[in-house]
Amino acid sequence: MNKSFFLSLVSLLFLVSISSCDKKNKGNFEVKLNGFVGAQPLSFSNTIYSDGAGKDFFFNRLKFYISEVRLVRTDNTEVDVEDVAYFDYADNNWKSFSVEAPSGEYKGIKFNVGLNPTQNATNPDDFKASDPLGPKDDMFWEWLKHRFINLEGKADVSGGSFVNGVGLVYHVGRDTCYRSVSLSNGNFIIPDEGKKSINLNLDLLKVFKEQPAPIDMFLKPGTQSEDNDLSIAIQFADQFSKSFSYSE
Amino acid sequence: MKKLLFLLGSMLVIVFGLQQCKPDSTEIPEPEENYKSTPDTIKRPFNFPPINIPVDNPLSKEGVLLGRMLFYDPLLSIDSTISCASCHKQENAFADGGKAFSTSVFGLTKRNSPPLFNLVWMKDFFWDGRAKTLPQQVEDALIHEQNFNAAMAVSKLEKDSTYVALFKKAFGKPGNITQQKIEKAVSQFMMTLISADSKFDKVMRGQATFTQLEFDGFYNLFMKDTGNVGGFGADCFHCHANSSGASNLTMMDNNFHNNGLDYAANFNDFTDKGLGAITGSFTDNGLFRTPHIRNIEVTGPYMRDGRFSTLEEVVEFYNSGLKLSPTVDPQMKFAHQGGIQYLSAYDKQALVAFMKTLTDTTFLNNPKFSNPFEQ
Repeated sequence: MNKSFFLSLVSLLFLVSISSCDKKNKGNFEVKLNGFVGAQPLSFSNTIYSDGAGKDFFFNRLKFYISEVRLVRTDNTEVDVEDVAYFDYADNNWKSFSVEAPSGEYKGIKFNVGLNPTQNATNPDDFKASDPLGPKDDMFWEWLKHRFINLEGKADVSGGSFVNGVGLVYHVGRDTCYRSVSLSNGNFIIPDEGKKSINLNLDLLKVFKEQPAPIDMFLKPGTQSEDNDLSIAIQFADQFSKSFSYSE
Repeated sequence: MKKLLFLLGSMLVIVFGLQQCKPDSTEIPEPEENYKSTPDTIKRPFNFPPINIPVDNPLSKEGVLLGRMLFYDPLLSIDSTISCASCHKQENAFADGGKAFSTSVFGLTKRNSPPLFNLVWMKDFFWDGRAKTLPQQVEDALIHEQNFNAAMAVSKLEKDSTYVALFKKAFGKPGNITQQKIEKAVSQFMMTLISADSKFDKVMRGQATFTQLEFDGFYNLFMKDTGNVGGFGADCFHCHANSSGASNLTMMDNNFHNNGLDYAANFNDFTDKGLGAITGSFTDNGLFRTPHIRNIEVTGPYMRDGRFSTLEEVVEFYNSGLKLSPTVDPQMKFAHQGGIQYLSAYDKQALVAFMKTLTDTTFLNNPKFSNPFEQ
């Protein structure tokens, strides 16, 4: 009797120690999306931007998925922290995400723009709206699956009234447009049982001006990722994935 | 002594008798502490998204009935002449059938009354999206369309013993009548207005088949992109279908667009700024909520100002009548040439034929949604 009581007590203490171990060595990692157009913050309200090369433009929609989010330790090993995240720049509920991650020092972040083929094959109706893969307006068509990126706006010649402007509609999807991103910008620490926030910065001007394949808004104002305009989607995915950075 | 006792006894009997003769009290007892109204539910139609009823306004049979009565009762307007149903008629899928401009004794309504159904899947209300919840929408309509005065409406309802009882049954304790309860009850009724039994739905469920004309209208025109160079579909689906799931049949994108209805020389040249007047952003000027395409056969006249009387006119507008302005939707890829231009007579007939498959006569004739005072 005494022996079994003793064993129970030891087991209980063991379980308690395990569960408290679980809480240790972990912290909260938050990623906040910050949009930019060059040095200016991205805004959908009352804001016209210029590319400095003859074009004015504005945006009114930016939505995209990232997936397989990993943190890179200083010894170059990687930690998986999130399978998929969804950003909608017009909706504060979807401008950031936070996850539990091992505490410690990291030297970079990796993720992919879009959804991996397994995620892309899922049906939003099978997930709750609160899930990144759940129903999101304008982000899924049965025949093309998920849109990885949805950017819309309008462009005109500098100083133009936009009456004769060009509609910008970049609906980028399909597995061939899945792109990897690897970022580093100095080391950062996720404190034990604490919180670390970083800003994920996306510069839309770079999407259209980044060498070696800048996208001319007038010549390539959009894509639906259909067969006849898939080349623009591929170019856009390449450019978009090169336009991220992070800051603390 | 005996006589005195007799007299006293008689008086007691008379007093007791008089007590019994008093008319029934108009006081309706407060609901019991643990009173609960009868929960009501809405059935999720085939291939529609899940229904999220607001936690602060759960449906009850009593709440829906009360809301239905309030919806049809002109008592809520300041001079008791206008009800919600004056501009939202069941035979028009709760649109106004072109009559909103003349029913209001307080003047013309600014815009065409939108139809009311499938509201549980909507995120913004009114053409300009100025309400974000159904109770907000009810409040706005009561104030601006029925010249509603909350205190007066509450006072009128409090004098009506039927309503006093109905409010208590719908909302329990405390059994008073408030503006908030009026809005909640009307919202409850409106949440039950589900339209999902048109021929189109039956085709999607495998219970009916499209004619060739309807088939071409839907699959080869409505749901097909124009492409960047044009030459194939009519590209209606970007706004008039839902792209959030594999088979979301709400047929609305829950979004705002400038569909090229009017020319504007610059951002501030719009006669009706729509969403821009609400958000204060000039890049939103001229944008309006995508209207329902379901039941479109009976929701005319069309566009926010009811300028088109027929579906044929609407189709022709998208084919050849688009006007340029700074905020024309980027999806209107052929606005610069007045529309896609290439729809044949057959294409136009096909689009109209398809649109007519969206008429839900079950909904239009559902006795659960009709005027309860005429039954």
